[in-house]
Amino acid sequence: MKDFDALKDLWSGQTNDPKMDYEGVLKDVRKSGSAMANRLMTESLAMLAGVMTFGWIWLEGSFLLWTTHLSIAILVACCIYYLTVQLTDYRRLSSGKDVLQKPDLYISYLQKYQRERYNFNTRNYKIYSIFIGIALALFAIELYYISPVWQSIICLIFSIGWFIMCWRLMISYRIKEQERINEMITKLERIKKQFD
Amino acid sequence: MAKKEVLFGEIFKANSKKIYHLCYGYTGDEAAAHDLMQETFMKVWQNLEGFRNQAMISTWVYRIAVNTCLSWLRVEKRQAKDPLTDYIIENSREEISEKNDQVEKLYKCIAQLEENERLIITMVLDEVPYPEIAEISSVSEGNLRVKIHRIKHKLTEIYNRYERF
Repeated sequence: MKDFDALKDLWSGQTNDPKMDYEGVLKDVRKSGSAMANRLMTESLAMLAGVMTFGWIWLEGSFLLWTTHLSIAILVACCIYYLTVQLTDYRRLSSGKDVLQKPDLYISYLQKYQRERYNFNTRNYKIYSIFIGIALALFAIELYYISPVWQSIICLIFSIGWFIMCWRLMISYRIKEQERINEMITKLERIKKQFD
Repeated sequence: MAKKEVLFGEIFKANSKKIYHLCYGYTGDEAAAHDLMQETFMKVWQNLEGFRNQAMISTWVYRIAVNTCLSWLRVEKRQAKDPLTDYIIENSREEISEKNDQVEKLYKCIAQLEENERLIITMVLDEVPYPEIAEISSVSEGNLRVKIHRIKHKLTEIYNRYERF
């Protein structure tokens, strides 16, 4: 049988020391900083390429209908929206400012962040997909007038197939995500009660 | 930049051991404790310029560590509170020396406590002053004393129960 003082002696005599030094931490800070910057850069460049491609098509193409102009404008807006959200989230995570709060406030921040991400991955993604769908449908109107019927049909089949695939993937992703988020929020709420 | 590095080095030397104990006490896992400690000091480095001496630097570092441990839950699927089974105890005996075996068992017992109890008790064991623990864990000092009394009793009970194996 040991009392608390015996446990304290055991604790103070432990040889469990961290196996790292501050120079190693600094090395990793620089490495992770550049990894984050590279990821950001790659994503930004990919989205920028998308925006430029649509812009180029918009400027160079001679479209007959106003619906096509609207279609391209929607696609460009979707790309910019997605890029803005990603950039904001990365900046927020990399700054690490929230971690300086008191633990009870930090738990509230984590709960809020989880819900925001959940909304982004479900509700906002749904709206995002609907806009992409509208853009493709508007584009299909012009395609119907300028292309042979078989090309229009292939384009229509491809678009519908793509949507069904995305929808199915999103359903399974949403179910998994929901379970995970619910589990996390339950845990955080349980911890929050401990700090109240 | 060099001045910042010197300051960071001093902060690291003064706090790393205690922060490691806190992370180990929270996770009950050596590898996870190293990851969390590293993440904590990375955040310390990133925010060092913003530190305005509103709190003691150790309190500030502790707070970052506590929040890093809390956010560990967001990505960690495995529950930290693994039951202390015979299998774990048996494995521990094979892997570590007799003296460290007891310390290892103590960490596993700490991991059986509630999350904020783990954070508080590791600071108590590391002899962090009570006002500082209260400040770090957002608990009033009066409430903290009651909590500490209860956690000490709980931890001793868990440890003695498993020492009988």
